[in-house]
Amino acid sequence: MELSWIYGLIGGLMIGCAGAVLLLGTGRIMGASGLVGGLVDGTGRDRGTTAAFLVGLIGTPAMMTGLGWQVDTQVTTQLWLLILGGLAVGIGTRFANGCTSGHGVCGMSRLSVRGFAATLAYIGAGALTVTALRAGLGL
Amino acid sequence: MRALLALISGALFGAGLHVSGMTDTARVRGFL
Repeated sequence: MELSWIYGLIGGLMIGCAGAVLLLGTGRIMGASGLVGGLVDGTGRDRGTTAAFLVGLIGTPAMMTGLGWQVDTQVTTQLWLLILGGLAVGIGTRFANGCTSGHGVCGMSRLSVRGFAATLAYIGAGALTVTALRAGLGL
Repeated sequence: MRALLALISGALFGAGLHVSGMTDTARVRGFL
Protein backbone atom coordinates (compact mmCIF):
# COMPACT_ATOMS: atom_id res chain seq x y z
CA MET A 1 0.00 0.00 0.00
CA GLU A 2 1.33 3.40 -1.02
CA LEU A 3 2.02 5.47 2.10
CA SER A 4 3.49 8.63 0.58
CA TRP A 5 0.33 10.51 1.62
CA ILE A 6 1.52 10.16 5.22
CA TYR A 7 4.40 12.51 4.50
CA GLY A 8 2.00 15.06 3.05
CA LEU A 9 -0.17 14.84 6.16
CA ILE A 10 2.75 15.12 8.56
CA GLY A 11 4.28 17.98 6.57
CA GLY A 12 0.94 19.80 6.50
CA LEU A 13 0.54 19.40 10.24
CA MET A 14 4.03 20.80 10.76
CA ILE A 15 3.25 23.81 8.56
CA GLY A 16 0.02 24.43 10.41
CA CYS A 17 1.84 24.25 13.73
CA ALA A 18 4.42 26.70 12.41
CA GLY A 19 1.64 29.19 11.69
CA ALA A 20 0.21 28.69 15.16
CA VAL A 21 3.61 29.14 16.85
CA LEU A 22 4.26 32.41 15.03
CA LEU A 23 0.76 33.78 15.59
CA LEU A 24 0.50 32.78 19.26
CA GLY A 25 4.13 33.55 20.04
CA THR A 26 4.60 36.86 18.26
CA GLY A 27 1.13 37.93 17.13
CA ARG A 28 2.20 37.87 13.47
CA ILE A 29 0.60 36.07 10.56
CA MET A 30 2.93 33.57 8.89
CA GLY A 31 2.68 35.17 5.46
CA ALA A 32 6.03 34.51 3.82
CA SER A 33 5.58 37.04 1.03
CA GLY A 34 4.64 39.77 3.48
CA LEU A 35 7.51 38.92 5.79
CA VAL A 36 10.06 38.88 2.97
CA GLY A 37 8.53 41.95 1.33
CA GLY A 38 8.74 43.87 4.60
CA LEU A 39 12.42 43.04 4.87
CA VAL A 40 13.13 44.01 1.26
CA ASP A 41 11.31 47.35 1.20
CA GLY A 42 12.02 48.24 4.81
CA THR A 43 8.38 48.43 5.93
CA GLY A 44 8.59 45.31 8.11
CA ARG A 45 7.74 45.82 11.75
CA ASP A 46 10.19 43.52 13.46
CA ARG A 47 13.18 42.80 11.24
CA GLY A 48 14.96 40.64 13.82
CA THR A 49 11.98 38.33 14.23
CA THR A 50 11.50 38.15 10.48
CA ALA A 51 15.15 37.35 9.91
CA ALA A 52 15.02 34.58 12.54
CA PHE A 53 11.96 33.11 10.80
CA LEU A 54 13.72 33.11 7.43
CA VAL A 55 16.84 31.52 8.88
CA GLY A 56 14.70 28.66 10.16
CA LEU A 57 12.69 28.42 6.93
CA ILE A 58 15.68 28.24 4.62
CA GLY A 59 18.20 26.61 6.93
CA THR A 60 16.12 23.66 8.07
CA PRO A 61 15.49 22.05 4.64
CA ALA A 62 19.13 22.69 3.75
CA MET A 63 20.21 20.99 6.96
CA MET A 64 17.81 18.08 6.37
CA THR A 65 19.24 17.62 2.89
CA GLY A 66 22.75 17.68 4.32
CA LEU A 67 21.77 15.02 6.85
CA GLY A 68 20.59 12.74 4.08
CA TRP A 69 16.89 13.53 3.62
CA GLN A 70 17.18 14.13 -0.11
CA VAL A 71 14.41 15.58 -2.21
CA ASP A 72 14.48 15.34 -5.97
CA THR A 73 14.35 19.04 -6.76
CA GLN A 74 14.65 19.70 -10.47
CA VAL A 75 15.32 23.38 -11.07
CA THR A 76 15.82 24.75 -14.55
CA THR A 77 19.27 25.96 -15.49
CA GLN A 78 17.79 28.74 -17.60
CA LEU A 79 18.44 31.86 -15.53
CA TRP A 80 15.97 34.02 -17.46
CA LEU A 81 13.19 31.55 -16.62
CA LEU A 82 14.07 31.59 -12.92
CA ILE A 83 14.08 35.39 -12.87
CA LEU A 84 10.81 35.58 -14.78
CA GLY A 85 9.19 33.06 -12.46
CA GLY A 86 10.42 34.85 -9.36
CA LEU A 87 9.15 38.20 -10.62
CA ALA A 88 5.77 36.67 -11.48
CA VAL A 89 5.45 35.19 -7.98
CA GLY A 90 6.54 38.41 -6.30
CA ILE A 91 4.22 40.63 -8.31
CA GLY A 92 1.34 38.20 -7.92
CA THR A 93 1.68 37.99 -4.16
CA ARG A 94 1.74 41.77 -3.91
CA PHE A 95 -1.42 42.03 -6.02
CA ALA A 96 -3.10 39.39 -3.85
CA ASN A 97 -1.73 40.94 -0.67
CA GLY A 98 -0.49 37.53 0.39
CA CYS A 99 0.57 34.08 -0.71
CA THR A 100 -0.02 30.42 0.02
CA SER A 101 1.19 30.62 3.60
CA GLY A 102 -0.63 33.83 4.45
CA HIS A 103 -3.93 33.22 2.70
CA GLY A 104 -3.85 29.44 2.39
CA VAL A 105 -2.48 28.30 5.73
CA CYS A 106 -3.23 31.20 8.04
CA GLY A 107 -6.20 32.84 6.32
CA MET A 108 -8.20 29.70 5.70
CA SER A 109 -7.50 28.32 9.18
CA ARG A 110 -8.90 31.57 10.59
CA LEU A 111 -11.96 31.12 8.32
CA SER A 112 -11.12 34.31 6.44
CA VAL A 113 -13.32 34.81 3.37
CA ARG A 114 -10.47 36.67 1.70
CA GLY A 115 -8.18 33.75 2.48
CA PHE A 116 -10.53 31.24 0.86
CA ALA A 117 -11.06 33.47 -2.17
CA ALA A 118 -7.35 34.12 -2.68
CA THR A 119 -6.46 30.45 -2.26
CA LEU A 120 -9.09 29.34 -4.77
CA ALA A 121 -7.90 31.99 -7.20
CA TYR A 122 -4.21 31.22 -7.13
CA ILE A 123 -4.58 27.43 -7.01
CA GLY A 124 -6.95 27.71 -9.97
CA ALA A 125 -4.61 30.03 -11.84
CA GLY A 126 -1.69 27.74 -11.13
CA ALA A 127 -3.56 24.69 -12.38
CA LEU A 128 -4.63 26.53 -15.54
CA THR A 129 -1.08 27.72 -16.16
CA VAL A 130 0.42 24.25 -15.76
CA THR A 131 -2.28 22.75 -18.00
CA ALA A 132 -1.73 25.40 -20.68
CA LEU A 133 2.05 25.00 -20.57
CA ARG A 134 1.76 21.23 -20.82
CA ALA A 135 -0.68 21.42 -23.72
CA GLY A 136 1.06 24.25 -25.53
CA LEU A 137 4.73 23.75 -24.89
CA GLY A 138 4.91 20.22 -23.59
CA LEU A 139 6.40 21.38 -20.28
CA MET B 1 12.04 35.12 23.01
CA ARG B 2 10.14 36.43 19.98
CA ALA B 3 13.11 35.73 17.76
CA LEU B 4 13.42 32.19 19.14
CA LEU B 5 9.75 31.49 18.52
CA ALA B 6 10.08 32.91 15.01
CA LEU B 7 13.09 30.68 14.40
CA ILE B 8 11.16 27.63 15.61
CA SER B 9 8.20 28.62 13.43
CA GLY B 10 10.42 29.02 10.38
CA ALA B 11 12.13 25.71 11.08
CA LEU B 12 8.79 23.91 11.41
CA PHE B 13 7.58 25.53 8.18
CA GLY B 14 10.73 24.57 6.29
CA ALA B 15 10.77 21.06 7.70
CA GLY B 16 7.09 20.66 6.86
CA LEU B 17 7.71 21.69 3.27
CA HIS B 18 10.58 19.23 3.04
CA VAL B 19 8.76 16.33 4.68
CA SER B 20 5.63 16.83 2.57
CA GLY B 21 7.66 16.91 -0.63
CA MET B 22 6.58 20.43 -1.55
CA THR B 23 10.23 21.26 -2.31
CA ASP B 24 10.07 18.70 -5.12
CA THR B 25 9.05 20.64 -8.22
CA ALA B 26 7.68 17.54 -9.90
CA ARG B 27 5.36 16.91 -6.97
CA VAL B 28 4.14 20.53 -7.02
CA ARG B 29 3.44 20.33 -10.77
CA GLY B 30 1.65 17.02 -10.22
CA PHE B 31 -0.43 18.61 -7.48
CA LEU B 32 -1.51 21.38 -9.84
